[in-house]
Amino acid sequence: MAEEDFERFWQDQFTEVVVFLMRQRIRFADAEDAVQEAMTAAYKSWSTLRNPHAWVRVVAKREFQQATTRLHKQRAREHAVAHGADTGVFDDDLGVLRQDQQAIVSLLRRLPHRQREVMAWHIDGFKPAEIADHLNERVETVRSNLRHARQALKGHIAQDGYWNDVGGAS
Amino acid sequence: MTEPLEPPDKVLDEILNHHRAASVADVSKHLDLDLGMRVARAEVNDSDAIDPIQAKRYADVLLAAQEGSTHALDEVIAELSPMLWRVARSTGLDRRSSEDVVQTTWLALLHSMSTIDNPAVLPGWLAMTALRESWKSSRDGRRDYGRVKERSGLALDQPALDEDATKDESLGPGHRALWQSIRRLPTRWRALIQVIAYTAPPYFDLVVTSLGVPRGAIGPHWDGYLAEVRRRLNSNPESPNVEGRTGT
Repeated sequence: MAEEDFERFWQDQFTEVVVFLMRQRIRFADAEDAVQEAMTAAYKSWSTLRNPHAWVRVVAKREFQQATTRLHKQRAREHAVAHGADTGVFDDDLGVLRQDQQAIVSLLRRLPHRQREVMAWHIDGFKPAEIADHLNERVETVRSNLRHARQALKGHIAQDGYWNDVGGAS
Repeated sequence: MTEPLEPPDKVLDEILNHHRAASVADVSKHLDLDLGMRVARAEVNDSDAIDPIQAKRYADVLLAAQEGSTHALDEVIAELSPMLWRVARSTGLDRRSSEDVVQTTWLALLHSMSTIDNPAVLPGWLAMTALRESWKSSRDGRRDYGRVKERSGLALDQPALDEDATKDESLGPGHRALWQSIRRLPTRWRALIQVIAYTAPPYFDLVVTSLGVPRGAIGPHWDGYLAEVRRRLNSNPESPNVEGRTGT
């Protein structure tokens, strides 16, 4: 693919992948760094990439994981998550979103890890079979995680009254 | 008390679809995609223009450091730290914070050196890391990010920036005069000159492109800066013999 294609891809996908990571409880600044690395790597290998949309998401997530491992932050974060410190603690980067969207990302971040990850791919338009392929999971597992995630989200939305706020119920 | 009514699947899909577009629109206001693209270009393309001897030296140094040689990086740190410090100062950080940024940048290199595929781009990688660390370090990094963006990657009003050099007693009177002349230049020129002054010639393009100055803008401007410095030096009373000094 040509250089102009890559520029379009950069403009079209950079922000999408940043938000994709933010939905998975990765801070905005860390997400931006990881996507910059992943997109630069995509640029280097551009002519050989068959599915750049999925590739850059997988690589960006890996870049983030490698960065946190390198900086020895992983354990601290997992500890915080395991001890229920996830309400609010990881949401202080959400000022880049308007309030209604902050509420949704915050809901997504409250999902268990696998459901959160599958839901992030689902929101970006990937089908369960594709998600299973990119995450190296069984498609049944992906479907199951997706079903649970959707159910949990519907529950949260009903509880939080978000549905009423957006005019879904009256 | 009745259970809250759950939305049907269709409504959830509508909410998520709207969320996808709206969240991307929100976040895109806080990102500088053009700067990111320029940085990637500098990292990927400009490596061809790098002196292969220097590239090999950086590769050797990084390899030795990875293998645990404690002093492997000393020379490179001494060589490139002044440039990194100027990068931090050019974003408006004070001396102390800039020193912290330089430290953090070298620490980042220690953590990431195994991921640097092409050691030839090391100065650009460091400059970009220092720039990002500088933004993070400032109290409202995001707002500064926008401000720096407007200034094409270089801060334009740092009144105390080059006072450091003009007060440095270790510099001879000629050098002090040179910095005093630079001080009288327009602020945009000063910022650029100060970063370039601490960057080895083969890396001007790489470092400055990493800082967001468009490729190709350096050559002609650099000549203009030097001509102006030369002119001002010649009119500087503290500079008894300046001929040829600025050409070095």
